[in-house]
Amino acid sequence: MGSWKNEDKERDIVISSRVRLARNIKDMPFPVLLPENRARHLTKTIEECLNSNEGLATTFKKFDLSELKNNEKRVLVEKHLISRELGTHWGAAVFINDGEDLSIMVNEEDHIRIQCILDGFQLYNTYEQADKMDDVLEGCMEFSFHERFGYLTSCPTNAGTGMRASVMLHLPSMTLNNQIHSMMMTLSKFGLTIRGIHGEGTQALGDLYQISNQNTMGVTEHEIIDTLHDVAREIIKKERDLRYDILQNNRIYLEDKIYRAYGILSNARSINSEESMKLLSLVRLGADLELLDQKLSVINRLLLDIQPGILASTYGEAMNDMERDRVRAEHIRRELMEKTIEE
Amino acid sequence: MIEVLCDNCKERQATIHITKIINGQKKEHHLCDQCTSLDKLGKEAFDYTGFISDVANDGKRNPSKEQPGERTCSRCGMTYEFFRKHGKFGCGECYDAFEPMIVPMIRRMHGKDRHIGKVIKNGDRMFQRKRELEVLQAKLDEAVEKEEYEMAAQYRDQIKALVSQTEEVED
Repeated sequence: MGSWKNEDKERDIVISSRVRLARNIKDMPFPVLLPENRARHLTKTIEECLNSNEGLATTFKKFDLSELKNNEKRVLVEKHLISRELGTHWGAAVFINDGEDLSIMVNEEDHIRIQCILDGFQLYNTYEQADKMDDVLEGCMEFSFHERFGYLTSCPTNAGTGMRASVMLHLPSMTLNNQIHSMMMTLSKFGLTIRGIHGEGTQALGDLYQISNQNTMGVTEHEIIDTLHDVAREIIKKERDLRYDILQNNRIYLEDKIYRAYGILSNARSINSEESMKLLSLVRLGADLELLDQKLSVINRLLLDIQPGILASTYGEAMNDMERDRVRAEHIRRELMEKTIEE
Repeated sequence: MIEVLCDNCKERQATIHITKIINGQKKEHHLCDQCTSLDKLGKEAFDYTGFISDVANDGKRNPSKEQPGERTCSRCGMTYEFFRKHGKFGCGECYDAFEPMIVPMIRRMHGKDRHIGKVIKNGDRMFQRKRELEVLQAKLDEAVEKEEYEMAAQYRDQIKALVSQTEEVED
């Protein structure tokens, strides 16, 4: 057993938990109609609010989207700190705290989108932190709220609680067994949905899936969290059962897949991000089943570090695709072998 | 840039300039940062009627061709057609403007059409008072209709007291 087993016991399947709250300011046009001056003024108001709040246990750094280079924005998207859409409206900005677990997007689809993202299965903590930040901001401004429809959002799909809670799960066995589609059907009965790692319309690279609530109205925030938590637990159990089922009934097939993946990753001289994600998913599965002596935390970090933007920010942004694939392969080899070298 | 005083306070220098052209007439608004702070900007500076129609009609605004019966948000000018095309509202008041059309849509989306979660600060108290006011107003109207003026005066005083309490809460 590796030391990662000391971490919370769902981390074999759950990569991260996230809660996002959408808020708009009373009597102010939504971002689609907001003039630039007022959009910038809103950013300034939020900045002053964060700076003047002594109760905050964390400090925030502001990033103005119009001043960010393409790759800098890409890095923030890959780290899930901003959405891909941030930057389409005037005055788009994001405030990110030191620990990079809290971010406040300004002038995205809504005036404010508070987001908390934590490692592992921590939905309740995640909501608590986002909720606290919601209260902090409400102390400085008045939110647009309707007696019947709750928190008003630019798109009625988010109205009510304005809340989107999600967990990112690693489901290689369910993917191998073609069970994702049938799970999708089941999830919709609970008002939940399943997407790829960067939200709607994105691929489930590396067998990573986001399960999130679809309904935001007619349910309380705690009911949303409870439902997502309980359903995620069921999925975790199913994925675990399947892992051991395949291992027991089809061991050679599974071992072959995992060792081939490890063989390629620890020897490749050039590899793109899509293939890396696919193979790292199998290595992660191998690490969990103790077929490979690798730490889940190392694989988790690799899944993020090999993304094009993050890789470019680590090794120099002037790389072309071919150089990036070479650097990625080298980075993966080094990370996978590091432990062996230490020993 | 020429220094212009704020239309609202007439004291500070304007930092926000909004130009609207209505029927060929150019109208300008100049506001300072303080008067555009989140709770002070009035409806006047936030009237985009016409702008949305332009966008919905791909920039070809032709008032004679506009559907007279088409519902529009009186606050931001958002048309239902624009919302149907883009799925986005222009402001919070669009929810009231398009309520009859969006309730079935919200029911389809969420299975429910009423929020039951967290409310804004003082929200519960505010909404409760609003309902009390509606009830008292109905009683007042009824008393006036029946010419029960003593009762009507009592209701009027209760309404006044409730309104002043509500204002205190909001302050």
